[in-house]
Amino acid sequence: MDIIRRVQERAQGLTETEAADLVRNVMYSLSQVMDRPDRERLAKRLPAELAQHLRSDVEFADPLVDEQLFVGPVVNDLATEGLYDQTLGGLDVLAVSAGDEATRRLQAVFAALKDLLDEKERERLASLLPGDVADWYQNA
Amino acid sequence: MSSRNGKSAAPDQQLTLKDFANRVKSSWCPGCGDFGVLTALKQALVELGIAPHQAAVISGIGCGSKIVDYMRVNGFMTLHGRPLAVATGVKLANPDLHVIVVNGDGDGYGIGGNHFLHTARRNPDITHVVENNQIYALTKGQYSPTSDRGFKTSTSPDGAAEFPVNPLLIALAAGATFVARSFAGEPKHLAQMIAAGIRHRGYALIDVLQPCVTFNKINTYEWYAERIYRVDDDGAYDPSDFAQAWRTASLWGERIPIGIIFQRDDVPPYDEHVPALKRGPVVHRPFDIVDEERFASLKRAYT
Amino acid sequence: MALTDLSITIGGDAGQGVESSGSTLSLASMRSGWNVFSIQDYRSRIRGGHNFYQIRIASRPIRSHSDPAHLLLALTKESVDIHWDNLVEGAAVLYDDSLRIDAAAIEGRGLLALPMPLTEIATRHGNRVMTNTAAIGAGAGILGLSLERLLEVVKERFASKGEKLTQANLAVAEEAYQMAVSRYRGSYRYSLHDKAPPRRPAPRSAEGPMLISGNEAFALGAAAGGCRFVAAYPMTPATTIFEWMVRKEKELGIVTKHAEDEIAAICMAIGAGYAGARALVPTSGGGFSLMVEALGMAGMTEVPVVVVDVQRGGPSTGLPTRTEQADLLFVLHASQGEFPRIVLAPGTHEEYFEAGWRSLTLAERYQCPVIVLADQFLAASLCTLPWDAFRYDEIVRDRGELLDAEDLDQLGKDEYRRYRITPSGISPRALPGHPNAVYTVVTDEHDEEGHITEAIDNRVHMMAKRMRKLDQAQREMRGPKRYGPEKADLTLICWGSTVGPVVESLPLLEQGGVRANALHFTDLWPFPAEASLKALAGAQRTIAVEQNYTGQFARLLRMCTGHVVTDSLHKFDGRPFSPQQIAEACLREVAAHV
Repeated sequence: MDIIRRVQERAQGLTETEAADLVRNVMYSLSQVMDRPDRERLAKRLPAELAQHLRSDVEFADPLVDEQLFVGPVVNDLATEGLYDQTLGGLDVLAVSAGDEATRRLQAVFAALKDLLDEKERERLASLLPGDVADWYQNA
Repeated sequence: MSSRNGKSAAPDQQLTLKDFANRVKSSWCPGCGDFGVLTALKQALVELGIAPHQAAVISGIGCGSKIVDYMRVNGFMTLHGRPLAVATGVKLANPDLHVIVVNGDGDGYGIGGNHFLHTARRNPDITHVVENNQIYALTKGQYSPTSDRGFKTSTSPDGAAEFPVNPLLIALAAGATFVARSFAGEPKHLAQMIAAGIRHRGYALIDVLQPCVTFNKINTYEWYAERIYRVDDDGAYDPSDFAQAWRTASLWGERIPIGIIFQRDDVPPYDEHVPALKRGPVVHRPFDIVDEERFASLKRAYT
Repeated sequence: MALTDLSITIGGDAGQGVESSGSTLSLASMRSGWNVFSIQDYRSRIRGGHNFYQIRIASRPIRSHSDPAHLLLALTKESVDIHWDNLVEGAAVLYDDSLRIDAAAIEGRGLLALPMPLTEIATRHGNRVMTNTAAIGAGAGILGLSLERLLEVVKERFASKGEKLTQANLAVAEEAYQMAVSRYRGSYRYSLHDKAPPRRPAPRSAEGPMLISGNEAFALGAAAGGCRFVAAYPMTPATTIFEWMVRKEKELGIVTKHAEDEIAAICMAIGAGYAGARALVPTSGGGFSLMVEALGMAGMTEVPVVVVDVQRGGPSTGLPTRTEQADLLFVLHASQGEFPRIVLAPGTHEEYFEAGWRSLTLAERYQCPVIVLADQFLAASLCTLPWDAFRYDEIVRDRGELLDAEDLDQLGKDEYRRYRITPSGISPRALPGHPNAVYTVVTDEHDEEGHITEAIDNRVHMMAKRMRKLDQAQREMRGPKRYGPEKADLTLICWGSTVGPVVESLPLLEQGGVRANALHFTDLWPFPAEASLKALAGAQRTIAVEQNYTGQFARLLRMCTGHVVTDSLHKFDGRPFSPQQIAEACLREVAAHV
């Protein structure tokens, strides 16, 4: 898959499955912040395999989704659990860089996305992204 | 809505999310579902016009319970499992406060299970938001009362062997008058549920499916998103129908219902049964009632 | 022989009405002009098993029961067997003649057997259940108590049960009274001295003496002291405090909540205290054990709350209806970590009343948990007190450094600091609800605003701030009160409710040739070390008298002052000390060391 390969190139170190999961999660998050008309317009620009991951069951964007919730599904897939923590019990948390890593992977997908869109569509998309996500997108 | 202590929240002043923001830096992992709960709770209060000084958010111990530290509101982070009991005391002492309890699934349904059961029966005017991530996150990844069977963690290496708690059914069986569920990944819906719960006069349970991005790699945003459906999607759902609510609440697994599962408005909240509260909150002027004459009459009973 | 101090024992099975007849006779005695002190002894059962009531009547104010008794009203044969060893020479044993009791055996012990047709009288007037009424009627007649006062009390007592039952009981009481007088008054050696002036004219006057139990006195004190929230889980012997509050809820505007367990009860009280109510939780040792974690919450978050531990026989379920003083060191140290607490151990009924309002004021002044340590003996015993024993104007109504709306109106929006570090350690307290006092309360270590922090400097300062409050509180803690002469060969050291029997033992010791005084401690934490050392300065032999096995107070005294008591007298059989037991034991101890 073209998009998957492009994401792997940008992100470095992801397997095909990881890249596929990543793309699916970003599509989900994107559809959270878009109204149906915007989603449908975007879907037309994307290959079918990508477009299918945009939600179709909700009418409106969720205005309360911020950068944290946007990034949530991506962080789910990160390796955040270390070995057993002998001092405190439970598992050692490797989440310290989860935020940065999630941003990095997100940007790989954004870069690939931007390649598929024209100037106007890119700007339209930028305007829909919440908080820091818009900055990450601009710098992708 | 004016407070009894002096100034009122100027009703013409529009509240925004910023009124509830403070300077404390959150220690939640990036992407944590608790962020959704925090935003939704603030939004609900804004929508209802409840100012920070008019609400009391009571939490337990856990990742999600730190919500109190991250919000500008009257907050009380209590003990593991005990926020419902503390909240009941707050409400009975000063019913003018909007009392909201926020805690996790272990805090709310495990160690706090007894208070959960009895608070549902008691029906005080308290809103209970449970951040249900099906794991113990603060202590780094043990299984919880809502973990599905087979869930493997450091305290369930062969997979959890107990049936998970179904909080909606327990609440219904205990006589709860408002039972709802939502998803942290859909904060707009969650805000609506919380607002409806606060509006409801009585105990309101909102079980919130909340992904723990760090420790729970099974019940992820995606996992929930694939399974949840809104009960009012087809327009035929009647939240006052107990039998339907019971059937709906029993669903879990491939289909997980969210929305207001059950609601009844014909049961007065507990505070209305309390004779002492007929005179208003008991927190100001405690000495006014037993004056010299009444004191003498109390003594006279022993002569 | 006319006496100015005698005791009556009423013995029977649980379910025979020993408690109600005992309290009726106690009140009738007080209304007849006497000072009364009554105790009950019963088992943790609803029916069956022996229980008894002991009433002491005296012309002077008394603080304790007394052994042996001068009259036994026996409702069962078992009562005779159990109590006839604890009667004076010539005491009367009054019993129902249908019980197969051997009068000769009684006479053989130098006692007077007084069989009477108690059950027959009761049955004739309607129901054999009134046998206990017949017994106290007869008892009153034998002793020479006022019939009029007895009937007055019986009438009041049965008012709620309807006219028919009331009339029946009155008839039973009167007939038994008259029969006892005509048959036996002449042969009974003892009687109440008719020269002891009734301190009150008949009938009951508006401001006469009160006959009240410890728990009722405490509840009254707390209510008068502004208590407006009580949460509890029923537990013997504290339940009567809660039920008093529930009965008075409507009249006094007190919110009461019978919670699902003790943990819920203490947490509700802390929630109420946080919101600004004066909150109280009555319980006993087992319930207190469940409340331990929450105690730390109150201490850490500086929320005022009062917990009453009415001690009973332990450990574990122990002796639920009996007395002990074995929770002292437990409540002093309960809960993990260190935080300020205040511990009061009232001993007399007046002190217990005072603790009702004083504990609430101390809790709000120092914003910490206050524990009142009582016990079953104090809680359930009835004591006659003069009308003035509880005075409205002595109650200190102080909410400490509580900011009111006017104070808060002056502040900027986010200026208020709930945990502001002050020289005294006490941070001015604002109640939630005012727009200028929106703050966080957490059980983690926190900064002045109440937010969680682990910073080293803050931790050190905040811990010191909390603990500093005790230095302030210390100034209000009272040293021991001395009873008896300033100079004595023997000093009895006691705390809590043992004061009554100890003080009554002093004249007995004097009679036995030992000049003794007593030091009674009521304020136990922060411990009044300086005042204690001063009081102990002249003491010769000291004997710590306490109702536990390990001598907890003696250990506390040594820990805080270095004073090592000469000897200890312990009683842990669940029954209260009597003055006689103390005197005998101390005389033996003194003799052994001569």
